[in-house]
Amino acid sequence: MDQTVAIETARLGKVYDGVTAIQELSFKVFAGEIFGLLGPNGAGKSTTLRILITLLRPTTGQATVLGHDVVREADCVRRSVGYVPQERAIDRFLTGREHLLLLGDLYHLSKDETQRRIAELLKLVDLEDQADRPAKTYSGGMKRKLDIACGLLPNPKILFLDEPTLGLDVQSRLRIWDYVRHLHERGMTIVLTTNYLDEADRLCDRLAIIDGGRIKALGSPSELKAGLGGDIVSVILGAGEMTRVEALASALKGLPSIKSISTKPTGLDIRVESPEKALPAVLEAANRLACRIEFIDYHRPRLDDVFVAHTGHAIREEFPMENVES
Amino acid sequence: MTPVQAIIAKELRSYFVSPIVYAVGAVFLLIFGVLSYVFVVNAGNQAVRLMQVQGAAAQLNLNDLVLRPTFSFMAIFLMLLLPILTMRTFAEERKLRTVELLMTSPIGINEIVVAKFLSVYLIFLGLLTLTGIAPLILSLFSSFDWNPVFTGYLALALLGAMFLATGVLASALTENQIVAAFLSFGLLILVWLLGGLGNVLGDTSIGNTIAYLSFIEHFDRLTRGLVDTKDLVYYLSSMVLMLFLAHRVVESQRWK
Ligand SMILES: Nc1ncnc2c1ncn2[C@@H]1O[C@H](COP(=O)(O)OP(=O)(O)OP(=O)(O)O)[C@@H](O)[C@H]1O
Ligand SMILES: [Mg+2]
Repeated sequence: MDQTVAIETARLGKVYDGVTAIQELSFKVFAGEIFGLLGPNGAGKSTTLRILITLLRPTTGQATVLGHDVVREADCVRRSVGYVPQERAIDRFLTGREHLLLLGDLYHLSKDETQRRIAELLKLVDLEDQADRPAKTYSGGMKRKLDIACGLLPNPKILFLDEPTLGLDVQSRLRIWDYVRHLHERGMTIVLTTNYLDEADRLCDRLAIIDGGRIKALGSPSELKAGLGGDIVSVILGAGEMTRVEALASALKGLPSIKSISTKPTGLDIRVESPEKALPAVLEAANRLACRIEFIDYHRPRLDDVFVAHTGHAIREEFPMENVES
Repeated sequence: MTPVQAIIAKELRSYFVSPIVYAVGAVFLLIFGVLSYVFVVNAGNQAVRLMQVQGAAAQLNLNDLVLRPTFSFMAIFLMLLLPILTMRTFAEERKLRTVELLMTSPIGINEIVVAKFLSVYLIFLGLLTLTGIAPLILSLFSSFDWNPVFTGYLALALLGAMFLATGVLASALTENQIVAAFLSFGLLILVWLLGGLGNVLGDTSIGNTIAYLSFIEHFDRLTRGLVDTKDLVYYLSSMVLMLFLAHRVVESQRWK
């Protein structure tokens, strides 16, 4: 990968009448890479993206896309980027194909070119059979696919995808990942936002973890994981044992083999130098406190551990993480 | 297709699959028909009365008795009808966020505004053309001066352009179609009433300026068959002003 800078932001900030959505965001995206913005709901991912595609004006700071300032040279930026919004914006009366035809005209594509790309894209997103139905009759996932086809129609140098696979079934997700990789191989720069850890981990060359409008960590998934050092011991406590979690945490704190401890709703995540030394200590402490352990395991750091380490909380509290092999 | 043509095609398409055009069109044609019918009957009655008084068939001026009043009343009805046509132009697209499709593409805001305006204007011109049946039928049974009829249509076409441009501006100001419709009623009625206000102030320079701002006087002159550059300038410049303001509003929203 060459190291030409495709996108650069400098201390970007956005305040929506009193609500600070993002602040002090500085990052670079290199040409030809897949760059991810990973964060929970409300982190400011969409806001960042909408600034970069010139739909929003930043309150502070600057951003350039392919060397063009997003405020002063918005027209140049618009010509070279494609955008797939998070919420679908489907015209009520047009069919899927008509949406794409309209975009072809808006981007000054020739008729043949438009037809050729439409055929290719409809095949890609598997909408060929539904292309001539009014788009308002599509299911959520079909609308999402149409959105993606719309973003790709102008054959942009940089593609922005806002939560590309939100709400899609597993096959569609995998297909879209494949296609993103395919575009990447063809040299397209791709910026996507996601709150799926596996998506960030498997798809992105580099990513920025965003929480509360700030960048908490920046790097490739493997760098980020290696940056944590050591392994993770996860302890899940039995039902009703959570009252003792604080006692357990403080008993473990300061032990030589333990680097840090974070509390989860179901138990503890313990970052350790080596599990061989730490595991007996953890079991011993639990035993001493008569704390019943439901489940314990250790693993190399995963992206969810990186997320917890940098933000102090899990990306989604309610349910356990998807398994991500590292 | 050029981007403007593409947007016009898309707009016309949405108009014709929605009931708005049919509702507005039906009411428009109905009012035009009823008005001209009423004035024709009225003219007939007057002819009968004149015959009784003078004892001979009088030559009636159909331009004054039928066509001009029809045009004048239509002007007032357009104030109520056209905002219904324009209310969705921007408001609906902003509400449904489909406007983002246009906003992130490399076309200019001026192209978007012009295309939206032209699409409603084309619909209006189509309806106006349909009303041409009324004078045509009238000409089969009587004779009248066609010149004021043509200038009357010109007057309606210009007035419509101004009203529609105002409606597009109102629609750009809000996400709510009903609010957009009321906003353009309000604006148009305000401009209309300026004529009365100007008359109250009398023949002073302020009075004349204010009266100039109202569309009524310009309209009357045209329906009498007088084409004055001053009146044409009035309509075209107010239309351009409204579209320019709409452009500014849309532009400022892009940057919210
Ligand atoms: N138009 C707006 N007006 C006011 N506040 C807004 C607006 N849009 C976003 N925000 C606020 O800005 C913050 C960031 O929102 P943003 O949509 O960028 O988050 P996100 O990371 O994309 O979240 P999600 O994963 O839910 O899409 C949130 O606190 C949100 O409430
Ligand atoms: Mg978002």
